[in-house]
Amino acid sequence: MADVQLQHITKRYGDVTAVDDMNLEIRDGEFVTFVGPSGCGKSTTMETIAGLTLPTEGNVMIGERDVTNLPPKDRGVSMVFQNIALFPHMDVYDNISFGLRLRKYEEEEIDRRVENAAEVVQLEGMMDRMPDEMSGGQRQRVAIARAIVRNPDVFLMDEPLANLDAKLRVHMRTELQRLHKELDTTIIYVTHDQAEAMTMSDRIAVINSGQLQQIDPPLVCYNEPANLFVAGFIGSPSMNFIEGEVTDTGSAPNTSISSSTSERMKRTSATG
Amino acid sequence: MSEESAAEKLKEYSPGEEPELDRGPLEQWAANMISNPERAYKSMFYTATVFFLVTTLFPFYWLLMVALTQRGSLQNIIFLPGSFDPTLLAEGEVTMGINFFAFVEVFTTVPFHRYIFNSFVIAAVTTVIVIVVASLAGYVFGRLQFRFKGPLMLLVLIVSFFPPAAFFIPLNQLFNTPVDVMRPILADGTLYNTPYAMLIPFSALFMPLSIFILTTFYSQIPDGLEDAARVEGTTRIGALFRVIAPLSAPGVATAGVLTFIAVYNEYFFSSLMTDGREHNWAPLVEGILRYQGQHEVLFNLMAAASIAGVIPVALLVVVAQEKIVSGLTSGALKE
Repeated sequence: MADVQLQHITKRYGDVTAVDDMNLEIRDGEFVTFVGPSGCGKSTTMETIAGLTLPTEGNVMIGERDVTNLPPKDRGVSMVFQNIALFPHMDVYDNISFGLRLRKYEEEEIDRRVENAAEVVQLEGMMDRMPDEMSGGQRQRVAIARAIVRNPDVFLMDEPLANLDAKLRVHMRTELQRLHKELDTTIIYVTHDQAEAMTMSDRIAVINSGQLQQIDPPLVCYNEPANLFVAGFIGSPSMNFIEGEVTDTGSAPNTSISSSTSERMKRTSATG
Repeated sequence: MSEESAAEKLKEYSPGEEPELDRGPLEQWAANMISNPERAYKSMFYTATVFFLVTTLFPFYWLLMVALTQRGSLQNIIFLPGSFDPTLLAEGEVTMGINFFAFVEVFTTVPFHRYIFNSFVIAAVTTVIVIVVASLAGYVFGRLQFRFKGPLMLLVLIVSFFPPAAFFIPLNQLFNTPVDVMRPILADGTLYNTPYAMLIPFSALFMPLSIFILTTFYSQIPDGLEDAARVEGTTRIGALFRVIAPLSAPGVATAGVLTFIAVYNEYFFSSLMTDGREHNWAPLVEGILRYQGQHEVLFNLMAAASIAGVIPVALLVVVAQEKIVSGLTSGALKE
C-alpha cells in the first residue's frame, strides 16, 4: 500500500505530446479513475506509472521511492489489461502464480495465496482450465486474481471491463468495488465510461489532450466543474453552454448573456 | 459436312440444351474435368503427391535394398536385394540370401556411432546457439522500433546470399593459425580438428534464416502479453523466453529443425575443418566415406550407414512435427 505521485510527467513521441506536465497525487488506499476521450493520454499516464513506458520528463513516486527509472517488476505494482492478456500457454493456476514463481516464493506460500486470490474473485475449482476454455468474465477474474495475488502496493486497471458484455460489466463493477473495500489498496482505474467513473471512484481525474483538467470526487466534478471541458465531458446528457460576458465587476459579478442567446431564451419562456 | 447443314443442325436445339457430341474417352474426360474442376484439382494433387513420394522415397528404398545385399553380389539391384534368392529357403537358409548383418557390420568396421554422435552434437549445439541468438535478434527486429531497422535486416539476410565457399578460405586460415592463449585447451593451439571450427561458421551461416523466421513469429505476439509478463516480474529478456518464445513454439520448432537438419547433413565445411577421423569430430558423411577401401568399396555398408545416419533426424522431425503443427495462441486475448 502506498500513495502515488506524478511530478511534472511529460511524454513525447516525436512531435506528439501524449502527456503534458502532469502533476497528480493519489492517496494511500484511494480509488482514482482517469477519464477522458480516447487518445487523451490516460493510458499513457498509466503505463508511465507501471513502468511500461518511460516518461520524457518528470518523476514517478510510489510510497517514498522514486521509481522513475525502475523496471516494472521492481515497482510493486500490478496491472489488469484491457485485452486481459492471460498467458495462453498456461492454465489458471500457472497464470495466477506466475509472478510469485518468478519471485521464488515457497510452494506452500504460493498455494495458499493462489487459493486466497481465487476465493476473492470466486474462481475456486477452475485451476486446471486453460484460458481458451473460459468465458470472458472468467478470464477477466483470472486476470484480477493474477493482479491481487502479489499484494501489490498499487493496482492499475486499464479499461478492464471494456470487453465484457453490458450485464457482466455491471456485475464486475460491484465486484471491483467489493474488492477495493476488502483489499484496501490504492487503485488507479482508466476508463472512458462515465458511469464506471462516477459510481466506483473516490476521486475522478479528468484528462484532456495530455493535461489534467480536474481531480475531485465524482459529485464535485459534476456540480462544480473546473472548466468548460469538464463541464461538457461529465454528465449525460451533457451540460448546456450559454455564452455570456462579465459586465459589472462590483461586489457580485453580473453576467450578461449574449444577445442571440437571450433572444432564444425569451422565446422559449414565452412559448413554454 | 457443309457449313449450311451444320448451321441447320444447331438451330434444332433450343438454347440451354447442348448437342450430343460424339466424344472419344479423352474428350469425355476433359469435358468432365471442365464441368467439375474439384475433381481435376484432386487428381492433380494425387499426381503431384505420388510423384513427390516416389522421387523422395524410392531412393531410400533402393538404399535399403543395397544395404541388404551380400558383399559378393552388388549389382543389378532395383526392387530386391541382389543376393535375394527364394530357393535358398529349401536349403534351410531362413534369410534367403538377405544380409541383415550389414547394420551390425557398419559399427564394427568403422566406429560409425562416433561419427553419428559427432554430427548430432555439433548439430544440437549449433541449433541451441542459433535459437538463443536468433531469438534475441528476432525480438529486436520483430518488436522494437528503431532507426535503420530495414537496412539492418537486409544486411543480416545478405549474409545468407553468399555461398558458404566464399567464407571458407579466410576461415580456414584463421582456424589453422595457432593461438598461444588456447594452447592449454586445444591440442596445437588451432581450432582445426575441434568442434569449434564447425560450430562457429555453422552458427553464423544458418543464423539469418532463423532470425527471419523468428522475427516474423515474434512480431505477431500481442504487446499486451509482454507488458503483462513485465509487470508480473520478468525482464524484457525474461518475457521473451517465458512468454513470447513458448507462444511462438511452431516458429521456434521450424527454425530449430531447419538448422538441425542443415548442420547434421553438412559436409563441405566439416570435411575441410577436420582430418576425417572420428576422434577429431569428423561428421557423419566422413564416416560413410570411410567404407571406401583401397581395393574395394563396401557399397552395402555405405548404404546401411546412410540409413543408420538418417534415423536420428527422422525421429527428431517426427517429434518436432507436433509442435510445428499445433498453434498455441488461440484464446490468448479477447479481440
